[in-house]
Parts: sequence; C-alpha cells; structure tokens
Amino acid sequence: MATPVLHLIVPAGLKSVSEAGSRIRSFLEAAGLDELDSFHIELAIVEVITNVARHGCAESGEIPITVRLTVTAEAVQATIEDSGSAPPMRPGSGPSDPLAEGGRGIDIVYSVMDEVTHVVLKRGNIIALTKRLRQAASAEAES
Amino acid sequence: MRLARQLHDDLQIVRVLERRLDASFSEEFIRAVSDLIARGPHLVILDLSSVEFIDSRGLGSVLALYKMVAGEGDLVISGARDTILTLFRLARIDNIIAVYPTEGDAVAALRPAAAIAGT
Repeated sequence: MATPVLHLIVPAGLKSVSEAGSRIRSFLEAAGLDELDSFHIELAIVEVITNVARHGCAESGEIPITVRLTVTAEAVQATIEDSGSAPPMRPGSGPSDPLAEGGRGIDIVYSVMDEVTHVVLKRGNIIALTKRLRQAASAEAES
Repeated sequence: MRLARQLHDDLQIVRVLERRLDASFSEEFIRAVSDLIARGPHLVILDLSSVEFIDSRGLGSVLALYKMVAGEGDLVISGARDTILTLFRLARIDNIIAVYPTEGDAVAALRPAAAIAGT
C-alpha cells in the first residue's frame, strides 16, 4: 500500500490557517488516524503556520509556506518550509500570566508532538514535526 | 461568524455555530461575541458543541471574552468535545474557566449566581 502523502502550499497569512487545517484534518482522517491524534497533529501544524505567518514572514508579505505530511504505520511526519526569517521556536517561552491571550502556540506544539526540529537556512526555515501514533504504540505493547 | 443567542432568565447562552475557531477567525469571533456580551446579561454560557477545532488564537479569544465579563459576571463553557478539552488542559485554561458537559449543566451551575445578580 502506498504511503499517504499530502503536499500543500499556502500563502503565509492568518487567512490560510483555516483552509490548511481543514485539508490536513481531511487527509489525516482519510489515512485512518483516530480523532485525538488527528486533532493534535492539525493543531501543531496550524500553530507553526501561524507562528511563521506572524513572525517569520511579517516583513516578507504573503510568501508561500509548503507543508508536507507523510503517514506511516508508526508515525506522522510533517515539514513546514518557508523562505522568511527565523520565527521564534523555543519551548518554554509561553506567558507567565495565566490569563494572557497569546504566546502559547509553541509550547502547545512541543506538548502534542514527539519531536520538533527547526533548521534555519540561509533563506528560510524548515520545521519538522514527528508524532508517534498511539494506535501503533498500543499494538506494539500488546504483541 | 455564525452565532445563536438565547436569553435564559438572567443569563445568556451564546452558541458558536462554526466548526473552526482558529487564527483565521479569532478576531471576528471576539468582535461578534463581545457585541452580544455588551447587551447583557453578563452571565454567559459559551456553547462549543458545534466546534470541532480550536487553536491557541481561538483559545486566546475565549480568554479575552472571559476577561471582558470578569467582575460583572462570569463566562463558562459548555459542550466542548474531548479533543478540545485536551487543549484546555494543556493550556491550563480549565483552571480558569469553568467547563460543563452540556448547556443544561452550565445553566444549573450558573442559576444561583443568576438569582443573586437579579436580587
């Protein structure tokens, strides 16, 4: 069976978030992921797109963001690439005020994904996310 | 932004009829709901039964609305699905904003507060 792959290019603006999220969700559900894994992977990718759109591409206009998503039996891997400046991607930089309205996005990404890497290129960034699937983990534990 | 409002004694129920509450719509959402909140009452049940996805910006907009009524009333959540509740827990919002499984549960919990507000 072929490995499901999604290749998505969206303009780096907040208006793109909904469309990208909906397409990612449909893809993950069609690939057979359960609701919680699908939600968390969509959430992480959407947070990265928002972060890139707000920070990394703020001075570059609506440059394209490329999302690639691959599903295997064990894990989902996503890469988000852009040609903007480096967005902040450090974990633990969330707000100290529990009522703060923003600043939680990156901590959420690290909480719901198993691996997060950020490679800063000469022109642009590659942010790679990996989520090991709970379905695969529980099947492994039973065997 | 599709919303439905129902007045219920001294409280109002605002039902979010959108499937997504994310960065694309969070500002529009705050504007639309704050208009309803401004009309009162300030005891508000925000029903999320129809919402399938929320991101950190959507979460931030719910917090902004909560702060809007704080002191004058209260804002609670009803109907959030389990996936969305995981986000509330991750962001520790469940320690700040009361969350109820159904609108009926939220109404029952807020009724004493509504009675006091009405005296």
